[in-house]
Amino acid sequence: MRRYRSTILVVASILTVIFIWWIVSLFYRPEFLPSPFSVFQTVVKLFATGKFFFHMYKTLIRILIGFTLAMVLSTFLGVVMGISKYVEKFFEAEVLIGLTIPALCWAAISIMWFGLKDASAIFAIIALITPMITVNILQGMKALDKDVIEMGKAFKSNKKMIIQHIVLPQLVPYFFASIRFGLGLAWKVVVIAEMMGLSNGIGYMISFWFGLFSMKDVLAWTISFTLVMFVIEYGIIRSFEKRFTRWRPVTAF
Amino acid sequence: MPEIIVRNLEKSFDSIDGKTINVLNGVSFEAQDREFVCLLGPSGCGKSTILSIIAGLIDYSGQVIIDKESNNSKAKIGYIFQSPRLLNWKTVKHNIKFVLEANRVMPENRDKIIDRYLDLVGLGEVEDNYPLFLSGGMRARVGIARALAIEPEILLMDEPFSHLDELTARRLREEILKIWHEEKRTVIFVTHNALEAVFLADKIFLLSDKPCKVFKEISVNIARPRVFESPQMIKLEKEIISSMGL
Repeated sequence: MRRYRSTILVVASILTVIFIWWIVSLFYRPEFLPSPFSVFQTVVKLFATGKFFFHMYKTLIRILIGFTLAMVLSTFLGVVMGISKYVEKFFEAEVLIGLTIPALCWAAISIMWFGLKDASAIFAIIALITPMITVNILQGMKALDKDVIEMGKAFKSNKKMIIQHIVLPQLVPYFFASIRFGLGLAWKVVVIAEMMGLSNGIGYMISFWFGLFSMKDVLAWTISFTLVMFVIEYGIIRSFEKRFTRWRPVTAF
Repeated sequence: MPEIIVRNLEKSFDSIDGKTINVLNGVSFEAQDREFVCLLGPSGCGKSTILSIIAGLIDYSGQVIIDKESNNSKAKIGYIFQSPRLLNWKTVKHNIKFVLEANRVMPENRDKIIDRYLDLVGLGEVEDNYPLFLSGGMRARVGIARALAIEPEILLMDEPFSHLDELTARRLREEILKIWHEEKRTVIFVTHNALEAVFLADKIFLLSDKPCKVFKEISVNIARPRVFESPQMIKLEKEIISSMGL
């Protein structure tokens, strides 16, 4: 019973929200707040007809490519900035400025540069999330355990070995944090780009139904996408994370 | 096995408030081939700095001559730290593999070597465990096995037992001596514990507080195997303590 306690809590919480939603929806027009059942019906139809998968695929591909490229670039930048104070100072201004530019601006600029193509979504993702992940990785570099690095040097390891075996493993928690909020941000900017000019994807569909003022469909697409992100978080990210944190005893709080 | 000659080591550090702290002020001593040498001094006097210098980790002025060569980067040096400094994300086995790879030991030989030295320190059963699941004493022993696994000519030990309980420390002192007898290497062992120094060393160099200097050399002529807290040991320890002005 105890093992399933957290699952039970999550399920109970979601059911409560749906229940409250249902109650509130009784007081409003369906165009304003449709009942959960009509929305779920639409969700089922979306999955059944395969419409959802096509647009989900387009959005996901953009997110995946942009996100992966951003992670590589950010990790490289973060590590190099962590190693050299000069490099850190050099990129400090650009990173700070990059942090403040909102997703909308990147979406607009990318579309004007790259046109109504996937490349604009991908570029917007990279531009938006690279500064944040770089800062995060840089924090990780500053928190490095200097004692084990010294141990590595005492045993005559070269720089490559120290980075591969001593530095990168310590950055793993920062990677996972970056993955989580990086994906969240990537989704936001992709949707904006899709709304503004692309011709497919989740953002495009939500914009489409917004144009027709169909709350039911807007909610259905939103929920479908959220379900997929849930599966990614719990199915993929968490299981990877468990593999990478096997070495740590779990402390009961 | 090489002899180590340390001559006139000087080292200063800049502190946070801009002042220069003179840590080593002309430290000189020698360790003969296969000798077990102790550097004995109060905490904070700069003993660890001396070891870091010999290991080539920081720069310094003065001379460090290993096997008749100045700035000898070829000498194989095994370092055992005060806290084990293991890579917690690697298993015990891979912790040792890491230093073997750094020292370019052939991959075919690695497993054999790891088994040998883990067995030597009594940890043959835990090679697939992660460090955080082991006790403090076991982690210390992994640190020892790791340093020995590269089969170094020189062993540098920085108060390796000072963080352990006395029972574990005594056991490990015996083990270290046993290993040293079997594979006679030159050992430089840093400690603030006079009794430990008398138990372990052929020769003890007494260090003063910062700015650090060697102010006395003591040969320990008690026959081995030594009995911890034997009357001869206690007598010598008392002499040492009074030399240090206490």
